[in-house]
Order: sequence, then C-alpha cells, then structure tokens
Amino acid sequence: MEILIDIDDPIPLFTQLISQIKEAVIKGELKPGTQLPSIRQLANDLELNSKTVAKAYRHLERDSVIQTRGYRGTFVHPDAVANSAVDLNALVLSKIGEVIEACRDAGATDSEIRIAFGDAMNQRPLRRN
Amino acid sequence: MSATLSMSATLAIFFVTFLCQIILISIYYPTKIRRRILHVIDTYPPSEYPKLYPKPLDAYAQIKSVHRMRFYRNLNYVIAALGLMILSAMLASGYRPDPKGGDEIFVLIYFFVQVCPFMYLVMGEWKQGKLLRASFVANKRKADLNPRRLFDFIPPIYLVTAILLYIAWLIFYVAPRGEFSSWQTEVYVTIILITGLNIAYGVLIARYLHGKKTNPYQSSKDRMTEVKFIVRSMVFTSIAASIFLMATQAVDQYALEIIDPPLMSLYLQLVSFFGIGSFLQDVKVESLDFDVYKE
Repeated sequence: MEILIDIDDPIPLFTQLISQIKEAVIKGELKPGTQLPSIRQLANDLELNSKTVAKAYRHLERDSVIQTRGYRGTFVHPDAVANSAVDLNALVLSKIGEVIEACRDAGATDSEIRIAFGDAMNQRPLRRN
Repeated sequence: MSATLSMSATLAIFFVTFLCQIILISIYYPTKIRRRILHVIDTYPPSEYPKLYPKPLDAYAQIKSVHRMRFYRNLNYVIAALGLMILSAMLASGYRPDPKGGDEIFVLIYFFVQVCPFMYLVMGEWKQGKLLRASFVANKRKADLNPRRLFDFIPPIYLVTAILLYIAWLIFYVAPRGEFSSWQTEVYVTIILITGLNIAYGVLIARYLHGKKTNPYQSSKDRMTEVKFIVRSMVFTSIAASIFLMATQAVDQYALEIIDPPLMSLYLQLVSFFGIGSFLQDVKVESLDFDVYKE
C-alpha cells in the first residue's frame, strides 16, 4: 500500500499522513496487526523531516489507530477500524463552536471570546501528546 | 606442518583460474553490461522517457548512434589481451610460482586494472543519479507503507553464517598468535581492516534499507529488488571474504603458499560474481518499471 503526500497542499503534512493511514485502515488496506514502516524509513522515503512523521504517529497512537510495541516496531491497533472513524478535530471544532455560540448569545464580543479562550488555555497545564 | 602439491598441478590450476578471471571480468561481464546499457537507451528513448535522461540529449544520442560504448568495450578487450599476454609469457618462460607465496599480489594488481573500466561506469552511474535527483521536482511524494526488514530480503541462516564465519576467522587468525602482548602491528591492522570491512557492509545494508532513495523516480517494487540485491551481495561477499581469509591462513599453516595465486584469483571472481554477476541476474531490465520516467 502506498501513501501520497502533496507538499503544495495547504493541509499540514502530518495531517495528510494521519488521514491517509486512517483511510487505509477504514478501507481495509491496512489490517489490524499489520506492521508499519519505522519513522525513519517513512521520513526518508517521503523526504520529510522525521519530526513530522513522528508527530503523525504520535497522534495516531493517541487515537488508538496504531500501537508501538517497543523495539518490534509500530503496528495497526486491533481496534483501529472503529477508532479511525472517530474524528477528534471535528469533535473539538463542534465543542468549541457550541461554547462560542453560548458566549455570543450571552453578549460577548468575538474579541472578548478570543482573549478568554487564550486565557483559559493558559490557565490549564500543558498536556503533551 | 606441510603438505605437497605437484608443481604441474598447481600451475595448471593457476592458469585455468587466471584464464577464467580474464574471461569473466574483462570479456563476459563487460559485454553483458554494455548490451544492457545499450538495450535501455534503444528501448526507452528520450522522446518517451524524458525523465531518464537528465543530461543534454546529445550525450545519449552519441551513445545511441555514434560510439555505442565502443571505448568501454575496447578498453576491456585491451585489458583482456594484456592478461592473455601475461599468461602466454608465463607459459613460454616456464614460470614457477614462488613456493613461499607472494605472487598473488600480481593477480590482485591485474584485478584492479580489470575493474577500472567498471569503476568508470560506476562513476557515470553516480553522476546520473545526482542529475536525476537534481531534476526531480515532484510536489507529490509517494512511499510504501510496508516496512523494509532485513529478513524480508535474506533468510536469517545466511546472515548467521556470515557472522559465525567472521568469528571463526577471527579465532582462526588470532589463536596461533598467542597472547595480546606478543601481537605485531600487522595483526591489529588485519583485524581492524576486516572488521571495518564487515561493518562497512552492515552500514551499506542499513543505508539501503532505511536511507533515502538514490534514484528519486524509482518505484517501490524496484527499490525492493535493489535492496534485496544489495543485502544478498554484501552478506555473500562477507561470507566469501571470511572463507578466503581462512583458506589463506590454512595454506600458510600447511606451507602450501604456492596455491595462493589461484586462491586469490578464485576469490576475486567470486567477489565479481556477487557484485556484478548477481546484479545482472537479479535486477533484470525487463522487470524494472520505466513508466516512472515518462512525462
């Protein structure tokens, strides 16, 4: 199975990687338990920075689409098909959308909402994915 | 300890192996390589496969219709003729190999002369790869999602054999030399050289397995073929080197240095076979994907 990255596409490269791997899982091209290439191999093959591939793998691991089994490598998660259908970005967008609507209904201006959003983010400790 | 081998038998073995070396490295392989390159240029013309030709087209047109790599062919013929002249002179002068050994150096020197035209082609191939990389401007990049694991390309038994033979050689080489303190510089140099050679093979394998593509247009399938060739070639060359080194060691042990020249010639032919021969056999032009060079 091949992966195709468009470097001119406005969609970030790591997002392209994530969506294509998820798509391949949903279509059954990547079966649960299948081994994926190492970060170094994929980064070299796509001529990308290995941090970009590592970031994509981290996100996929967080979403339980892939799992790292120590030195043996990275594999497609047993529940990858179900987990690939979950779009966290869409979830975040919808939740924030609801909050924005509620704040606007209460009379807050967009500028106040932006400042409040920044403050709320700053007040919470940073979580590393 | 010593063993005897008749002079006439030794000479016969040497002449036959040296003749094989001349034919294999200066006639057989160069002919196949030349045919292969000309076949590619004739079958995949610049009009249909422009990406395969990063140099100005005149350079390829010259090869295709004017000189047809005659210089390369003739250079190999001259080297083969030189080898045959050396062989004839040996026969005519009643040559007798030095029983204490040392004549194998001439076999090695002649081999270096033989590989010069081949190195010239390798340089050209390297320059071609550099130009291909420079001309590669694709904004879409493809990669295979299959991991390239070492044992996908070679059965573990061969790699284990290579490692065990290296260890066996090390023991075989070091054992008769007593304690560390009594070792001469030559012993350290040999150990470092052979270990370094094996490490270099390992690094090359790792580079091909996980490194960047040398040819950016190469398809995934062709890359797998190339990696398989490199992995096998390096492992088999390491096995051959260990066996050769142990054989020369045994020859010294049994005072049979007289057979060092044919042994060296045989080893060099094996190295050529694992390098050039298996490339021609495993990486067939017909199986390569040339569509990647189309516009």
